[in-house]
Amino acid sequence: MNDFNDSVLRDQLQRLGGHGPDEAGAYLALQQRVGVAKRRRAAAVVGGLGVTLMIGFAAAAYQPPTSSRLVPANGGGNDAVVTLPTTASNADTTSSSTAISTPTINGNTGNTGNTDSSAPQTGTDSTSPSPIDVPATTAHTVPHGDATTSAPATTTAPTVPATTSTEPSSTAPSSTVPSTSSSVPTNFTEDASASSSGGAATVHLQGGVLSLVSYSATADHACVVERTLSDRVRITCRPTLLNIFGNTSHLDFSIGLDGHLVAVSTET
Amino acid sequence: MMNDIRMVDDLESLFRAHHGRLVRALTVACGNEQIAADAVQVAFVKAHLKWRSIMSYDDPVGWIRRVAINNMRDEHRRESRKQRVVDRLGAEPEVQVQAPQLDEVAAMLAGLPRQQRLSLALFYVDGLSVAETAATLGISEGAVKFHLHQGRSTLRGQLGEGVHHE
Repeated sequence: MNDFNDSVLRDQLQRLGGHGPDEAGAYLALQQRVGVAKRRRAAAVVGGLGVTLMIGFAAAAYQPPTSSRLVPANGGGNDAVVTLPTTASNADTTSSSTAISTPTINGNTGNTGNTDSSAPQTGTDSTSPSPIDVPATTAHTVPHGDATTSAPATTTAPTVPATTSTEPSSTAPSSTVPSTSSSVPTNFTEDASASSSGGAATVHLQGGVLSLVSYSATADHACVVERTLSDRVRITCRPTLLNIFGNTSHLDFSIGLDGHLVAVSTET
Repeated sequence: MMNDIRMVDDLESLFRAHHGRLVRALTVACGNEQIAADAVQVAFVKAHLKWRSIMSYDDPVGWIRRVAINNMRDEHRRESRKQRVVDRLGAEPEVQVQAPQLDEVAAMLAGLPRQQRLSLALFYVDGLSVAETAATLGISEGAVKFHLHQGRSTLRGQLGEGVHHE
């Protein structure tokens, strides 16, 4: 340290450095500059929050577009009443036909069907329009509010002999029709509904072929028809973006070994 | 010196105690008082904005000094880039600023390498020790001694006896 202690050089360099700025003026300028920097920082924070909120609202308001809607297979009118005759093979069966409501097309509510006591007992269903079929290869999304199907959420009694008329439960987790009868008529018809926290669906079994009648989503859920085969129907209801804590539920319908409808509702 | 720094707990006292000396040191290092004053003021603004964390440092003035030196280097690089662009375009500078007349010592200082100028300025003008100069510049104490020795020898050799007898 002492080797570099050169007072002459120190004086020369300090003279070169000048007198230095005015301290009071420099401190005032510093305060002004700090104020500008603070305002700029606050503006950046507010702007960032605004952009974040806008992005959040935009993401929350986004809903996937509906791909398709249910259309009756025969292109019938909105007020078509489907009458399902009972099978005539068993004389013990009370002759009652079941009328169900048709799904609404384009937002119109279908009329509730009437009980038709004079329905034919011949076992044919030539008077009733065919249920709604959904192509197996197409996924149909029905967000809440779009699908206004008015099908009842309960299961209609199958029109089979009374000994086999145990109704499948409409509540989760599963409901099956007991197989007490050994043989099922060819024109056996049956309706089954299942519901879960995400939605509900109704299918129709006729002549060994399953068809989807209606399905609907509950609040903050969107239902998708994942599979519609002749012996299997699967509907998945997923929570929307606004319902991040909701569960995904599956409604599976299939034909059991005894020929009856099997409805299973599972939630994940 | 370190004890004095720790006793200073508010930025205003620290500013009044070190601002002028730091501006003079950087003026010697870069040869331009305006650039030096601006670099030091920007450093104090940054310190003001994050004073709560800086005040807990062992040497807050050292932090401010390093930030000021970095600002000065950034300004020097910016000016160099601007000058290169002007030279490449072959255009005349918009305003030809009249360079201040440098005296003999300033002209010789301008010819020294930047690290030697900084070492001389911090040691002789700001009054730092060799260790503090080394910590500020991020180099070893031996390197600082080397730069001081080289710079002092150059200045003495070029100024001759004038420096000694002034």
